Amino acid sequence: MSIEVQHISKCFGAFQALHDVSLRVEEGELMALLGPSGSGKTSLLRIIAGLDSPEAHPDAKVMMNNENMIHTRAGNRKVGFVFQHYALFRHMTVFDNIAFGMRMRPKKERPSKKEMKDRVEQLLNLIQLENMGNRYPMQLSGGQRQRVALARALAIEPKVLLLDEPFGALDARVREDLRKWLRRLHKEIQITSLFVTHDQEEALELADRIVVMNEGRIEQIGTPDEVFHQPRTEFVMQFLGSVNLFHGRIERGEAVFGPWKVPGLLGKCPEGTAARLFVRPYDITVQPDQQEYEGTIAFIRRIQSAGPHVKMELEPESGERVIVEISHERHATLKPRVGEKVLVSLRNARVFTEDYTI
Amino acid sequence: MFSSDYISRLSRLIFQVITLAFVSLFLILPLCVIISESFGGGLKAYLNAISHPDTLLALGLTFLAVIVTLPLNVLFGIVAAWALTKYEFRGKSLLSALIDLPFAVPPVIAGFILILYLGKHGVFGSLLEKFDLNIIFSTPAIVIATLFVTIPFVARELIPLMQEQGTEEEQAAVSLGASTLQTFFYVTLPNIKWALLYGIILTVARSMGEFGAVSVLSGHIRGKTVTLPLHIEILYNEYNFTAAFAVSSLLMLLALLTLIAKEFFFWKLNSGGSVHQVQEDTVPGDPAS
Repeated sequence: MSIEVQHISKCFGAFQALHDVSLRVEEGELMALLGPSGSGKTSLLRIIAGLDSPEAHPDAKVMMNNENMIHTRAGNRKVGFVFQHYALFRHMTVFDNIAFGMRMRPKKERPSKKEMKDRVEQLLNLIQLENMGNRYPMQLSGGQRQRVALARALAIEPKVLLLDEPFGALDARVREDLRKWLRRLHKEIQITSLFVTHDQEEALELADRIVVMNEGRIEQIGTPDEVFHQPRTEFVMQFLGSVNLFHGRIERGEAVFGPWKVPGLLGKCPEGTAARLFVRPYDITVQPDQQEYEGTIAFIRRIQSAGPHVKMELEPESGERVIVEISHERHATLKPRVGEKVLVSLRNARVFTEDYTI
Repeated sequence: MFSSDYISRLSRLIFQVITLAFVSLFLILPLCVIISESFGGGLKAYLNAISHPDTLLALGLTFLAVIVTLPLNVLFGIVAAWALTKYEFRGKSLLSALIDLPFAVPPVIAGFILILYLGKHGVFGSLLEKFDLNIIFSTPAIVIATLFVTIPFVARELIPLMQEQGTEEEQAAVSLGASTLQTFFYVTLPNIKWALLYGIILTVARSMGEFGAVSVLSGHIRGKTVTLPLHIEILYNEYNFTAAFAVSSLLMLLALLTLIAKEFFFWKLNSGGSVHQVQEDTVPGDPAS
């Protein structure tokens, strides 16, 4: 089932959590709502689930399969919701937790005891907690609780799965394993899913498409490749991956940032417009200080070679310090030393001015 | 010099002695005095005192006050705690303050306030007279006074627990298709049952023992509107010590029973009733098909 929201706003007192947000999740898609805390992503998820209601607006819509559900009770939306802190019923066993949704149905629609038992066992199988049906949530680990919460949401045979920071409360290793597991699970059951996360790595690894949110607005929607390689706004550029940021101005058609100049802005921006330049640490070329190379002169201030890449901190003759990442192979041929003079040039630099981007 | 182990053992001993002294001084000794005094006139005098029609009437009125007060307070307590902890609404802090009012107002003053409202010359006096309702100095007065004084007990017991538990489980229930009533009976109520029972015990204890407000509002008319505590006071003022202590022993017995019940529920409330054995996180493999 596809999800589409239109013109959704939400206020909490004087704080506006969502500003007129519209979004579409295609059938069978696994989509991530990515943003810092307070960006409105959880509010949006809760509104889709029907746990919160948006501000009244004549065109505000929450559509599922092109049917407006904005006035439908949460329980009737066919939505499985997984809470950040699991929200398992603490006084019920794992079995009863999973069976809860089926037991709450009106008598006519309620499955028989046998059917319920089969369904719960099938789900316990799916989350690989076959023999844990009679445990209480207190007796489970965080990762197990999260899987029970997922099984409980799936038990009502939802058409849509919504997950609020599904791995937020788990430690790093469990997180990674559970992430892979969820990806495989989604491939298998192909349910339209939307999950909230503030962890860019999680979004990039799991999602088919990512919605980047900031201050109650959508900054960009796109595949992981699109949002990572073609960020449409400064926020997206900064939020996904580390960047070097330089402040500068437009001078005679060039954006000037200390030692660096980006040409090609003639006639497009008025003189003196403030501009910001972003460049990823691995998009910086470092060459030895020799005749045949070009670039800005900089001094190496720090080298950190432990890790997947070698990180260097460079200080140009004028201007702000730069963080550079090079491969270990490059490090081996370049053999940089702290204090050494090198030539630095930028690739794929992105310039943002008040209302113009190259 | 003393070792720290010696000091900790010494301080533990001191605390044990203080605790024992307290329990003896305020529980065991008074109990002994009451029992010995009540049997001072022999078993027959004791039985006479507690089977006197006035005593039986006071006992009956006390029970009546408890029986009427309790369900109303439980209902109010649950509704108020539910509203205060699970919803946001205007006047929330006002409701919270209102619940605490009986704690802040001395019971005697509470009695006077109620007389101001319900008395013959009170605010609603003429209205009550029109319908020929006589509340002050009659049985309803006892119930109203008791109700007013014990209003906070259930709510105050539930609110911190429900606040701590939050609303996530209720939201989960709603998202799984449960109706409001189903959510309350299958999710909220089981989570608060021990605190609720504890609140009930406190309400019962207080309803039985309430003196000030009931005394003012009921007019303590002998043989008509006298509850156990009032009856004891009357007997005592008449220098009828044996009877006063005999009736006290009755009230004390009820108090002891509630104290035991309270301790039991308190223990249940804190133990949570389950063994907390946390599993190590295991790595899930392929999703089974």
